Amino acid sequence: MKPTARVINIINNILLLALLGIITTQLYITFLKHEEKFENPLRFINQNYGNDYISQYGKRFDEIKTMFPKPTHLTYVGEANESFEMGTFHYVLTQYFLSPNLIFTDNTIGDTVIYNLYISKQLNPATNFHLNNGWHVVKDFNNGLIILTK
Amino acid sequence: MLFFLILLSFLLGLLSCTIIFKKNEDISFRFLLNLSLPIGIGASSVLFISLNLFGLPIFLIPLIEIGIIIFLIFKVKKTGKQTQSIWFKTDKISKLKEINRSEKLLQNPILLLIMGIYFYALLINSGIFIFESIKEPHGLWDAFNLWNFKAKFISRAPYEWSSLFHQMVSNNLHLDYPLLQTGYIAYCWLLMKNESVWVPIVLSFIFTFCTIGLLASSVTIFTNKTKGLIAGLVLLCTPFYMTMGDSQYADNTVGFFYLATIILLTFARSGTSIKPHLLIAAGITAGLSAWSKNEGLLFITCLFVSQLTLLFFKNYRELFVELKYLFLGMLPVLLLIAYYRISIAPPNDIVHAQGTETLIKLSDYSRYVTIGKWYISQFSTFGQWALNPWWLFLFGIIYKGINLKENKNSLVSTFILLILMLTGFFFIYLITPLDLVFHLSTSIHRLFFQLFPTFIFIYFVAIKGKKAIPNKSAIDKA
Repeated sequence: MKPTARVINIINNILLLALLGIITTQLYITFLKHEEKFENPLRFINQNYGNDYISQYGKRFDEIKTMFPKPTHLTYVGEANESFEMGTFHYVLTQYFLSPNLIFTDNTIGDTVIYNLYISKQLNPATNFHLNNGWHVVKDFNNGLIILTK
Repeated sequence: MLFFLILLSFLLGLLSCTIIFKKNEDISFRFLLNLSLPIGIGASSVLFISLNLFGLPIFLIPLIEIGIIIFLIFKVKKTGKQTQSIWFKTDKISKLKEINRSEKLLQNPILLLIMGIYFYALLINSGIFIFESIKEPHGLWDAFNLWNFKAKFISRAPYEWSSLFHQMVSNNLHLDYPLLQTGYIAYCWLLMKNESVWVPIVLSFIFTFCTIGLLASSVTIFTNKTKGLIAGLVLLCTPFYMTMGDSQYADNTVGFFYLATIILLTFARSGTSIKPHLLIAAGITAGLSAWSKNEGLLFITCLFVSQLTLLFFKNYRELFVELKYLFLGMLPVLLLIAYYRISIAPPNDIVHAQGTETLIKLSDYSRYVTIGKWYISQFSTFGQWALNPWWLFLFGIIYKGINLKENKNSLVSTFILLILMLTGFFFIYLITPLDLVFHLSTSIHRLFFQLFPTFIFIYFVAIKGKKAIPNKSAIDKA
């Protein structure tokens, strides 16, 4: 082999090994992050399967789903002082679990209202807008979800 | 039931790809498997939504799929047994080549090492994917807010969803987004009579790992095994790629179809004659990218514009014939998308918000600077690697140079395509009605990731190196 070809060959191998070095380092770091799961996968599955936040959140809606066998228009009301991000998050989850019901955040659309009071859990009869303007509670599910109608 | 439905989609894809690649002995079964499964899923999704919109009962749709599969089996029989025996390695020459390959492999310790790392990485990442999916079975924000939410909607009101979608007004739910992932999940849920979280998990797994498999096997076909495995490893070991997969986002889905389109176009342009079946297939995968995410429509536009650069290298009549086949392939999916967007979905929030403010935004210099800075910052942070490998990629091009002798047309047009896509994304950010920094921070890495498999493909095919020449004389003798 000519000296120049040998040098090129060496540089090629260095490049390849450098890339392989970066890849294996990354692979090792990734593995370290999940090492516990690999050590005892069954324990991890038992601890986590079905216990995630969204699955648990969805259990609140099991009973309410049976109230609307056909797609219904519902007006959504969240917590009074929630941030935009939290409000959107809880609205989206409500729509996710209650589809194909159509859930609107616009107060003017429907006669049926769904309250999702994930922190306060209860309506305040003295100050609540709907209770003081002709709506009444159809069912309180005692988990922050309350249905009102006119 | 889920296994049966995936098997139907797989057969649909496999038989179609077998017809597309008739008499092409260079391709492997691994390549066919990785290409055909997602294409089959895309086809099933299109079929389900189209027939459902026609009001066909749900139970008839798998029967129609079976009918199409039987028709394709008869068509495949005509392509000849010899080609298929080469793919499935049942003929004598293939068996000899396989033994020869194994012997060569044992003599090449570096290749052996790379193969070992590849399979180890595959195992580790599959495990992580499953662990993360168990931890977050509904996926992350986009998964439950967009794709799985709409799938629940369709599966719970299969004959009313189109009119109900039309009545929804919330911008948060993005009902104008296309339905490939959503449609397939809803289809499985309807036939399983169960909203199992495993359907979207399995779907994401297929798209994530088939992209890696397709990338590795196609680079192997166009260059050599070492390059193919390294290309696959780069994608496989990029941490954020796996995160996107187990989050059940559709970016890996659309990324798969971009990659498949470019690979099919590279195959179509690898000879001297026009190959209509490969061009039509590239059109179908481009159409499926637009059925996966809205960015697919930008991809199709950029694809056609990028092909026009080939006027410098090709006869214009030949190019227009090629573009005609490409368009024919995507036409059915485009018609479905057009119908969905006109008759069912509310308008897109970015398009709908345009007006006099658009001009103000376009003339705002600070927006260009902000977006530019985010684009540049992606070079150092892209993929969330612990050690940045992209400097090596840059060094590789400078040191090794680019080989444009083979696949010149495909490489040039794909490079232009990637530049156009990045420009298109830049323009969308310029006119976005959302807060610019918020929009950039939540999406730019995902948009770049959609193009990432295609970028790796053209990088490894373009960079100079040894080419594995298939033993055609042996096949001719056989």
